Amino acid sequence: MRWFGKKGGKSMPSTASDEKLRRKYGAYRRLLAADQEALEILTDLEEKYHGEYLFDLQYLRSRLRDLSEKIAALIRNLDDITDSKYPQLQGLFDRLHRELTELLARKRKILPDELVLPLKDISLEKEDSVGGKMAHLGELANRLDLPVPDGFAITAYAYKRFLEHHQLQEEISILLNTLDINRLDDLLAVSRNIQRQIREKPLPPFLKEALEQNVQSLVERHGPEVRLSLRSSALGEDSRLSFAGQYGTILNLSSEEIGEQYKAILASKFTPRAIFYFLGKGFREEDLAMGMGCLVMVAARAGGVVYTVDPGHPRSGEAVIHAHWGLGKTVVDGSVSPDFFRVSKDPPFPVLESRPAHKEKMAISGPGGGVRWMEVPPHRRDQPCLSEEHLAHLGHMARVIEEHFGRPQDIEWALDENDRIVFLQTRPLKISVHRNERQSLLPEEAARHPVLLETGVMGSPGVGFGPVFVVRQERDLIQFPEGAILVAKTPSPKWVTVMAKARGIVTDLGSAASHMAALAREFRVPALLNTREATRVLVPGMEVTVDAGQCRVYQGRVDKLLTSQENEDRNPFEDTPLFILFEKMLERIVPLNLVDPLDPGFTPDACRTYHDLIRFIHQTATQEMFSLSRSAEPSSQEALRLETKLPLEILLVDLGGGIREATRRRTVKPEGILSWPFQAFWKGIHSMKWPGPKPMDLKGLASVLAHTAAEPGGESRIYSEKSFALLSADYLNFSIRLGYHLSTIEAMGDPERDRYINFIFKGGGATIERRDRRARLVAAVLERFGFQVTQKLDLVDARLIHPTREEMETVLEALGKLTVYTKQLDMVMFNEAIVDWSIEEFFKEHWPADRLSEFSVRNSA
Amino acid sequence: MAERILIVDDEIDMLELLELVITDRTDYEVVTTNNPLEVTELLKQQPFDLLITDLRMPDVDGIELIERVKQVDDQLPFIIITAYGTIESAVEAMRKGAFDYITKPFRQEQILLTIDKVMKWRRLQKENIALKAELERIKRGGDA
Repeated sequence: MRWFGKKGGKSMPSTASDEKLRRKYGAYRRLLAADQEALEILTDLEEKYHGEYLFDLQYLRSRLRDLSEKIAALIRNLDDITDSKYPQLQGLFDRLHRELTELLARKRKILPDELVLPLKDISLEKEDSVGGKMAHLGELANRLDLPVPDGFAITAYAYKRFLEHHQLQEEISILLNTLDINRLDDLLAVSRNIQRQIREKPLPPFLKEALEQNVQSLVERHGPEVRLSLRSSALGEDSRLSFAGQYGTILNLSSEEIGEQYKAILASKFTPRAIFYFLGKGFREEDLAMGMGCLVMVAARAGGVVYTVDPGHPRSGEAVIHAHWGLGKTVVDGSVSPDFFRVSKDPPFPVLESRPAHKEKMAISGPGGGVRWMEVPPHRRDQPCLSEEHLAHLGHMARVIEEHFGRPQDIEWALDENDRIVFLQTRPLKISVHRNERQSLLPEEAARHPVLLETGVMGSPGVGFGPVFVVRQERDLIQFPEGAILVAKTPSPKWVTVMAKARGIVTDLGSAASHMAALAREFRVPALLNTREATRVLVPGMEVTVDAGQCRVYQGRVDKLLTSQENEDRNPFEDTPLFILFEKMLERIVPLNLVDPLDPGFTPDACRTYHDLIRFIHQTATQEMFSLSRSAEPSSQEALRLETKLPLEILLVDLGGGIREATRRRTVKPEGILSWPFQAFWKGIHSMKWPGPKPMDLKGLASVLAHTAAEPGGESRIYSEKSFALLSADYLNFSIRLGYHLSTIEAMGDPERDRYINFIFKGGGATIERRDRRARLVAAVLERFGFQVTQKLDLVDARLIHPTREEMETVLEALGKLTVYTKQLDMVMFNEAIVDWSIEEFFKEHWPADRLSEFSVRNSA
Repeated sequence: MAERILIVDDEIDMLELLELVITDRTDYEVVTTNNPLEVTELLKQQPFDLLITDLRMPDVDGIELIERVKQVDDQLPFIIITAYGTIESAVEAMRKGAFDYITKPFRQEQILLTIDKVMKWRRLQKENIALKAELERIKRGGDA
């Protein structure tokens, strides 16, 4: 016998079609490598998102670059495998990659849009256009069908056009980019300069016209005397970070005033404290394009705020309501001490706690515009602003709104003249669950310190220590020292400029619903409000410990209280600009929409994220490779034939290192095959006693005959069909036809890759019921070996992931046995009992329990 | 008085995360700057117990910054933060006397443990200086 081997001096001849198969196989291996690396990066990114790690923008850039390279490689190799069957993938990838790169450049793109949008056309999806405040309000009106004031939104695009029209953008950028925000004088000068420029420029004609048209339609619906409010709704403002009170709201305007006041609010964005806030947070001015809402004023009898969870007891299932006579703005800005109510969010929404305040003054809309203070009539001063029915309604709505947005909310409402509750705003409520709950413990040590104050309400949880610094007017803030406790009469959002320095805040008046309290929670500064006498009791320089959760101020330093707030398991970074950006990136990377390959929606066009692309490409490539051995039709001249005494015709194609030598007659003996996955599988096939057809009952015979007769030339195909195996040293892709069924085994054993075995079993000659029963048998056996199995009628689709090489060898041998065992077994699958009996017989005869025990861990996992 | 840490990084995001985690989990006071040029000025104004600095920054790189800092306070311990792949420079930083270096991205615990180690060492160092001064004083007293 002569061999084509090294000694013969001649390597095996290869053909064009062999070459093509090898090329595809090469591409497939590269694809698998890229797939694995892409998934590793994905996991790494998700891990980083949990807040355990610290990193910077540079890290996100480099990870995105790596990930994009891997996906580009996946697409390239899939093209090679499928002969560019999915050209749309490149377009999808390019789009996602562009969006992600733009996100990382931190540039907000304001796309051409309407200048003005009526409230009825607004929902959360419009957030980038109209800003968070108006988008949330539109959601309340249009998705939840709740009463809100009539009105319209002025879009961010209108803002952009205004700046462009007067070429203001560039000038503002230069001023802000050269500003050192720690120099308060410069900050004030820049602020004045920008504000003046905005106020002085006239509205461009196109914007003036759009505003007038929309105001006119409000006048038509509500009469010429309609009073309006303008509320800023900056992009990104309300979504995660509450810029509470940073940008203006102007109440009680006539329809003629809207144009001028629109500019006044645009200018209000550039107050010193707002500039400090967003520059200090790492935002850039252009990220903060502004939308605005123009809403019909509600003639409010009372107004206030609902927190859908109690910040002091976040898990109690209770909502907290603050209310005051007149406009609710007084509750929000902290200028009054409001009524306090605690309401259950479960039916029938009972009122659990009611603490009406003594209310002497209230704010109302003045007849000629603006807001006016007036005395509360004596008989209403101690009367609660809300009835039990109102409170139950608010408790119910707290639940509805919170469930709709999927997180705790801070809701502003008004009670109108018709006794109806109207919603003015909703936004995420900032609370820190863990910190609060730990605070409820009072260490004994605390009892030894003199308590200076034991009153008030918690505005922001936590414990802080430092010397008292009393703020009487805004300019006192310039002197505010690092690490002090801010003490003042009324809360003010202007204090944001010192919140990074303050260790605590204590006030005489105010409520937890004030903007200042929201900012304190955001900056995690403990705040105790409405103590009545803080400015009298706490003297400048006195060292105190503020325990906001317990509403106490101690003299001196209470160490145990200070240390008890450590070790929180929340993500401390979730509200930072970096993590907000990161979250937006992950939205385009991580979610998996293509879950089920059998679903008709599993198409390239359905890919929405990088993960979808990875999944689709991997699945498609694997399927394509899987079917390669079935669709490969190398002519007998090209392929090598396996020498065997078994009644099988097997043609082999070597993809690289799979076959040692072949004879001149182009046959290969089993021992000449180097592919270890093939050897393992063949061992199973060869070890079986090759049965003739199982005895069949008459019905079974009739069934197979009928089936055969229906297929032209069917009978002769039973034993003459060729089987194909594509091999490499550690890879096998084998479609074996036995009788009427086709098994395809794909085994990847490369130690550098994730090893796997895919197995598909389909067909048979008997009726569909019997084929279905045999498929159940196959599925049951595979499951015992740890495969993930899907069975649909006579189709079994199974996958074994991450096996060791030893496990692979064992399983491949078992699959060889199973393939032969099930040959024509469908004929005898008379009933379900036979299925169960056959499963047990397979294990008893061919795979004893001690061998199966190797897989017990995998199975029980 | 709480011990004070100065952090220098040109990436505001990194400064923010570091400040958040340190102030959230320890009692140290934290001052941050993204401008390495003002570091020596800050050190002259107020005492610090630890400097944490990034290695790669546009105006002054970390190694150069260390040189400048040493001229103001040669006892000040410092930790270097490096991006993945800049280990050679980190080695150089260690040669220049960095207490430790840490590679981005890193775990919260990692930086907190490193800070803890430095601060323990810093306390010993301060104690040592005080004891030496005391010894000198006694010696001089003895000599007198």
